[in-house]
Amino acid sequence: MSGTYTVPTGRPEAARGEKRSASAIVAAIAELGGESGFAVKAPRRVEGRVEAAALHGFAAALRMRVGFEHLSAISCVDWLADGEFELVYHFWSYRDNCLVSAHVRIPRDTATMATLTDLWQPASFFERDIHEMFGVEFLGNEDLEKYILTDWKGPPPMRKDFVSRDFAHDHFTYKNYEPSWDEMIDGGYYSGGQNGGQA
Amino acid sequence: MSDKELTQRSAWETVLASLKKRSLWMLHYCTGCGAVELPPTMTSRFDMERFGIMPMVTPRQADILLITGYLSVKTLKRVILIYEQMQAPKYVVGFGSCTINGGMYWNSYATMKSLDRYLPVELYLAGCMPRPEAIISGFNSLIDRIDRGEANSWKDYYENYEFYRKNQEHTFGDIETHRSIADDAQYYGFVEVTK
Amino acid sequence: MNSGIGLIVWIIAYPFVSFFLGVLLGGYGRKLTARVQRRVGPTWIQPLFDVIKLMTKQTNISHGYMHDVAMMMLVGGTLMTMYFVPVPGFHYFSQFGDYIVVMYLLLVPPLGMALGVGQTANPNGSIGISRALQMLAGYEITLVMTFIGFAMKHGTTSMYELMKLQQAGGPATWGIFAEPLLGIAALFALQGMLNEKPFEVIIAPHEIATGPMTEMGGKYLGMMFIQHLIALPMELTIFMNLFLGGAQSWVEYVVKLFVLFTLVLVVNAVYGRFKTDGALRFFWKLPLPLAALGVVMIMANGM
Repeated sequence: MSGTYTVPTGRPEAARGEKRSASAIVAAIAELGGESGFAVKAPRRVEGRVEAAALHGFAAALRMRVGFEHLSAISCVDWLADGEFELVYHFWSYRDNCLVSAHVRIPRDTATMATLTDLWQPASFFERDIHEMFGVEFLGNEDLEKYILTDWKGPPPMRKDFVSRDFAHDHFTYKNYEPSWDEMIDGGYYSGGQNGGQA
Repeated sequence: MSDKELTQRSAWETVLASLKKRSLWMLHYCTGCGAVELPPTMTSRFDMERFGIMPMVTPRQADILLITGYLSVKTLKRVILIYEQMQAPKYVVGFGSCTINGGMYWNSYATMKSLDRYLPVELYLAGCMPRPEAIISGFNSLIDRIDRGEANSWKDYYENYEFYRKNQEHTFGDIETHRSIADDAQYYGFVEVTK
Repeated sequence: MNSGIGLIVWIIAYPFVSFFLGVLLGGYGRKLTARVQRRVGPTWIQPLFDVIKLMTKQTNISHGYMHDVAMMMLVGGTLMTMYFVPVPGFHYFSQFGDYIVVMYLLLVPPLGMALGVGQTANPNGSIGISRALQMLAGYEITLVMTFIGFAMKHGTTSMYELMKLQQAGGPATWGIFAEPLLGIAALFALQGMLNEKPFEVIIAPHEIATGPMTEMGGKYLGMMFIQHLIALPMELTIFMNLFLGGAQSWVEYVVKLFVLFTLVLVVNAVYGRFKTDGALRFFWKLPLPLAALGVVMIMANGM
């Protein structure tokens, strides 16, 4: 289970064949060695934890030797009290119609993770999004440009310690529906946030 | 321009205004949920065309820029570019409470709150969301304002460009617009030639 | 009105008369479309308001020299064509130019539009122009084919002569009754020439943002509107002169204009839009063979 697994092109051999049950998939994952924490969660769902350093090798093995050839999503959860981010990798098998979720915990203050773009090119999109919204660095991904928040200068907004309301009140100005007389004379219909009526 | 100058119009301008108000073309920038109120406004139930208001598809042809709903910071930039491409006289109509003070996105980090800090708004249609009756009523009051020669908010963009530009730069940093507002203001005769 | 001072007055007045007719027809068109769609619709002279609004816009963005000249070509070409089309009481110029001249001059406005839109460098505009030229290959060939049939039958290419022959023979000799195949083919071609649905591929607001008009605003768009309003009665008149026996009085002329335009509009109001290739394929599948068949029948009768 190392990251030096070479990826052949084309569909892996394991992606063809009879449909397997979820427990058979758990057994197949256990056969890979190393990761044994996987368990059946629902008839078509398998879930388990993977160490951050081992994820790349696990994903490659899952793709080539178990036949999960589709990375359907990467999601991220901010566990503020634990000081950790939880990245959830969702793999899909067209052979079994089954989803494998690999949960990875990484420390919140040094949030770095190895990229999966060498295995799945579309992973770049998910990683770019998570980088923008949570500030996780994906090592090896060359395209971590801003995606939706093109003019964003603040902290990553999906982090739990980011208070949207305070940020909005600092950066935007609201209308003051009951202006005092001096504000009305000033032409200042606006109350202004903390920066005194400027924008 | 003082109030006196605004109200004193020549007879020719009065006649022209009463003709021009009969034909208004609208570019609808449908970012938010308000877009669904427009089809009934245009089609047989409410029929906007009886006032001479028609939907148009390019900023060059349009007189009204209708902003239907919230604007995120990213889309606001595009709206400013569109507004500057439009040909005067032009009227911005803010639709729904999102454009007035953020509406239900009042504490969102990514949507701007008051549209009139970035563009000169001629008219707001309040409500979340305004019904087609409100749109028709709003457009009728816009028509009345044009008739009386009071719909001059677009001039404010050229006369007080520093204010708008400052707010735009506060939100976007340095933004690159394709038109020189100083040249335009000079063209409209709002500023003295000082160079 | 075909000699002396009356001729000069008429030459000056004719563009205005034509524009006025165009405004009435255009307003009627929008009103009728609205009625078919169960709407109230705008006022009857709405196109006039539109033109006034456009011509009094304060900004007029020019994209260069050719952009300005193209507008002259557009309106000038249409005006020039207009004089060669005989209307009741005015056929002075039709003795100098027959239908072939009209066909030729009808190509000047699209050419001018192509040059002007080329200068604006808007991709939507270029697509619109290429579609316009593609549509020409559809309806122009059909129109020319129907006209060839008539020229062979009556032995003349003069639109005025054809009109006179039909008027002398009464309604039974009108093109659309005497040669129904040619008449039906030409009706399709008229729909394409007026750029109405289902052949409205040039403007196509939902696809290519009004095509050639994308970058036009203010006076430029105003000029295009004026050109459209002048060309509208002219194109209907061409069809009328060939297939409905022209008109002997202005009352008859206006009535025939409105009836013919109504026919075009009700089709326009209820149909969707062809794709570009679909429109061309349609023209070459149905109206063109119909016209060709009509010509063959005329040749067979003549032998």
